[in-house]
Amino acid sequence: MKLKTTIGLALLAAQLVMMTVARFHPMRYYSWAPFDALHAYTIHASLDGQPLSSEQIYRRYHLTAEGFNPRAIFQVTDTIAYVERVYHTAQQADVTVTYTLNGREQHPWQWPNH
Amino acid sequence: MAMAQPLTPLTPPARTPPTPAWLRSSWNPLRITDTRLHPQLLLMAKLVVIGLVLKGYWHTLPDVFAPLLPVMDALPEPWFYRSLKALFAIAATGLMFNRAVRTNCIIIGCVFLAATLSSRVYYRNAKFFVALLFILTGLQERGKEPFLIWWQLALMYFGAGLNKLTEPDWRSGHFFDYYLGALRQSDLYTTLDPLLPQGYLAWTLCWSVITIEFTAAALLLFRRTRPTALWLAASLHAGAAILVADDYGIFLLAVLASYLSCLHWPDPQQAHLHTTRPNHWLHTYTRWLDHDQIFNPHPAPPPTPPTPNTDTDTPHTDDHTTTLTAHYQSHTWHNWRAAGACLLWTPAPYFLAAILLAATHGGPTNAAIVRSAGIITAAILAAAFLHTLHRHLRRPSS
Repeated sequence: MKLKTTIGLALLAAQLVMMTVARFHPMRYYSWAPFDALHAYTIHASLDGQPLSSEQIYRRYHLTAEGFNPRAIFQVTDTIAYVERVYHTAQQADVTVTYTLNGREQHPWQWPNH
Repeated sequence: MAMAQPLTPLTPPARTPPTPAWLRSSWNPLRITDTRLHPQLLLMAKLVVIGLVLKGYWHTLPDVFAPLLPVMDALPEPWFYRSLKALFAIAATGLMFNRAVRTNCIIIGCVFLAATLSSRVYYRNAKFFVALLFILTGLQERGKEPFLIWWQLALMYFGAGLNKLTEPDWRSGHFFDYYLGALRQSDLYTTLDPLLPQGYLAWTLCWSVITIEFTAAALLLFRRTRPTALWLAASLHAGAAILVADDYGIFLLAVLASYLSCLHWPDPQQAHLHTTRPNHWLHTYTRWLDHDQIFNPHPAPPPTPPTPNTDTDTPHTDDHTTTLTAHYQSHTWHNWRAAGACLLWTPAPYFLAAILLAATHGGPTNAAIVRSAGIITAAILAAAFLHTLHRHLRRPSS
């Protein structure tokens, strides 16, 4: 088998691995979950007790304060967690993400207490 | 006595180095048969490039932000984005003009793969699909069937079906009730839903999608069943286009273009076109738009008897009627089916469709175009189904 075909098959196999991981983890990157779970969410964040405006939230997380994610809410919460954990270690932010799945009841997610 | 002239030594002709393959191909962007890629794969790649450019995807390539590979945080901030953009521009231009097509496909694929890896916010399934489509096309070996792309499609439909099956709201039907009813307020859904028992329409839609995705995934793996798989999957996307009127960014165009990988493309001059009228519009059409010269035009119909593969729409013999016949290998088509074959094997209609589908993004115009495309696709699929059914019913029983 040629190297090119081997690389192609490895790419396909990697997706199978990601699809398997997605069965045990809320992560849905590279695992083919398009428009399967509709999450409406709202982000509330404060920095040292001061609430952040929608613009400040967008600048900090590159996410709108109110939005919609059709894949997995993990994409939103994972981004916020990464930003706080890696980019702003010196600051103490309190973030609450309130979300609904397919229009059902609200769920909260919090940073840093999650 | 004439003096013998001294012989001038013969200098060996200067040996010109062979032209590299990437320079030998035609520069005509409307040609697709002149490269190391299968014509249908090159056409697919060009259509997706058109979609990416018209939908502005290359403008919105990201800089590194919360990357999925943390090591990418070390990449210099404006230069990563600028490099992706420059690489895409160079590779896309090269691809459209038939230069180093496989290399350029790999570059475009890697640009989008790197982009999705570089930002958690940027990640979308459609962008990942585009990345894979280009990389697998670039990895295509010469003379081999594009089975990597077929397997990729099968894997995508299997993954999507599996994910839906594990979602309780998909199993109960609540998903479509919320999505089409409450969220999208689809006029078609809200009209049909009250006519059926409570929740029946949403439940049927959910399970139809799951069943079609699993079935298409399985049928894509085998040569004999691949057309059925494509018919099922295209029905799914046509239905979604009619109900939701959304192309999901580049996804709809990319997935429909990827079906071209299952099409067989004739070599130049291998398909024959006959008409009883020399100035038939199809002759003009092929003269202007068949840049690969797939069709070999003839002024009169061929004196061939009908074959088992001949379609049932036999030509009229009336002197006042223009008849049209196209044949390729053992297949013969007449009249509107012959015209269909001409449209099928020239890239121009595909380019036009891609431009129409990608020229607008969001808003009522885009919704109207997507819904119209869904209706046209559904009509073509229904015609293909009826034609196949008719052929099977006509087939003599053994």
